[in-house]
Amino acid sequence: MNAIAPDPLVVHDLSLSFGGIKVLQHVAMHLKAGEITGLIGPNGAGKTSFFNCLTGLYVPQHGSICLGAKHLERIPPSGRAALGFSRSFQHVALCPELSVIENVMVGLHRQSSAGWLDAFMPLAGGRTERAHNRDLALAALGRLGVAEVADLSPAQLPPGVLRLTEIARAIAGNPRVLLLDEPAAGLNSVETADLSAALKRLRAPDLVLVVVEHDMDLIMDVCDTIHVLNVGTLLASGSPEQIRHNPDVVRVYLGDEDA
Amino acid sequence: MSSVITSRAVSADAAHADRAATVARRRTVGIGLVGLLLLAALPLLAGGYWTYTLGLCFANAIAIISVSFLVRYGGEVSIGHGVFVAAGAYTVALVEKYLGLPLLASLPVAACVGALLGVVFAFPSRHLSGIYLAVATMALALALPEVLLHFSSVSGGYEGLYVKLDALPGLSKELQRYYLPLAGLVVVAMLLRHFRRSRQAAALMLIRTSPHAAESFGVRRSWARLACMALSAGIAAIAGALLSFSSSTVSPNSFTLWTSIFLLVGSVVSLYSLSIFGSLIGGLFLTLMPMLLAGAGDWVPILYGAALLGVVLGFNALPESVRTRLQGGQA
Repeated sequence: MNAIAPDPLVVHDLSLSFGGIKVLQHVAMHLKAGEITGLIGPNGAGKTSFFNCLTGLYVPQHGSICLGAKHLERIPPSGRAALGFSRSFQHVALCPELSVIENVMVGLHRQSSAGWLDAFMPLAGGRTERAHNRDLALAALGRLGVAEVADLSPAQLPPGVLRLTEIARAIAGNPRVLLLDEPAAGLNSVETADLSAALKRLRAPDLVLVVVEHDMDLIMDVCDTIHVLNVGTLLASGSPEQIRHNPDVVRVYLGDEDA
Repeated sequence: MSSVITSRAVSADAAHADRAATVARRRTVGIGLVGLLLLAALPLLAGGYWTYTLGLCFANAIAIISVSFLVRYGGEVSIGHGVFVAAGAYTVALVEKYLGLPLLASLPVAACVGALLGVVFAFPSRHLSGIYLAVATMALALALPEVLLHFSSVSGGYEGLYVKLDALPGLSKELQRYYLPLAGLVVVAMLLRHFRRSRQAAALMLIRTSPHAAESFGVRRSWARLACMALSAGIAAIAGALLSFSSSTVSPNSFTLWTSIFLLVGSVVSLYSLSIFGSLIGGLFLTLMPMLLAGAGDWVPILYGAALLGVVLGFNALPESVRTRLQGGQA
């Protein structure tokens, strides 16, 4: 088996502000590989901004992010993708001019080597890699139960399937850090149950999997650890059971009925 | 696996459309082949004037493709592509003047010079987009004639340079000026058709529509801009090289700001098409419309504008499926 210990993603004292607006304040988290970590909180709590800091789209003013021993502060988004970061987006970010499978194949871009000659001419190397990438993308779609739509255009699909396509793109390249931003948004209850099963299957010893979600049933079902953000600060961390009974979380986010 | 059920319902709905699209694609390929055969046979039927004009039209169609490529893959508009066309045209003329080599030897050099010029322009302007980038390209087009005149000892000044060497010995000059641009157009369109299926094309398209998503999957914005501009400029230079061969001369008058504006007009008229047929419509508009209106005197600009409006509105009134096929470069 793999002799290298899986690297955790460690966030230390992270602060982000836009002008005078403090989006994240002194957030610290230890995101373990092999676990599914939930990140919850009310709208505007800073969950997506936190993801954007992790992937390098936002540059925090203070704090550090380390994948194992590697500091990520100076690494741009493309560099973090090369390290194995992958994500889905709160608002579906698929290209409408590409077919579903072509969109998923973009998730394999960083690990593809076909050059410009392969792009313009039907050379053997490029064709082989493209076929291999297509197989990987089909497998990723299959893991989410939507392989049938591979050759359709995103414009032909309902929002729930688009959401699953985005997740397929995120997992196609076997990432080390997978960040899913509201994966269940737009899914009906049956599709959410399927997603829940799929997320559990994604759990892997060397994968840091973080899910931002408002669907508490899904979060409580799949997560090993949950962190709660509220107005940019970390309100609570713990197991689903601990979070469910945390009075601060109940007051700020879950409400009496859910508790 | 109920999401599978959902997707099956979706795919069943789309299956009919898919089959219809396949039939339509086959029909398009069939019509395209017949059209190409007709174009190949045309010099046997038409006179020298028409072969000369159509040769220019094919070269213009490639130049139009270069502008459309930037729109389709980069999401940007250029009002200065005449500069890259000029780079290709002058490269051919200068290689002939100083090295005595014909078009087939200088064409790859011209493409490289155009691509390099594209990179040189794209790097400092890589953070510009939209109207700002368009105006920056316009500045290039405005400066070009002055630059050419400044280096008149090399560029030939107002008179320009001649392109006289045969590219295909044994074939009459008239036929060379027709078939080489036609072959160039077919090759460029086929290369772009293959490119559309590449990972680079997918990355460029995603970064155009969702930059954050593309960056998160390892696509760099600066790479996308440089690649897009280099490819577009390279194609423009190929067009310039063939244009100089077909017209047998290059001069600053051929590459004014209006040249660039007309290329953009041609691109719009062709619906930003990367296909042979679509770009030919733009090329025909660009080449033939001024000739058709030549006798109209002061009315030329008004009639040209009316024709432009008519073509653009007419094409946009076509059904979506027809427009998609016209645009080409689709999966």
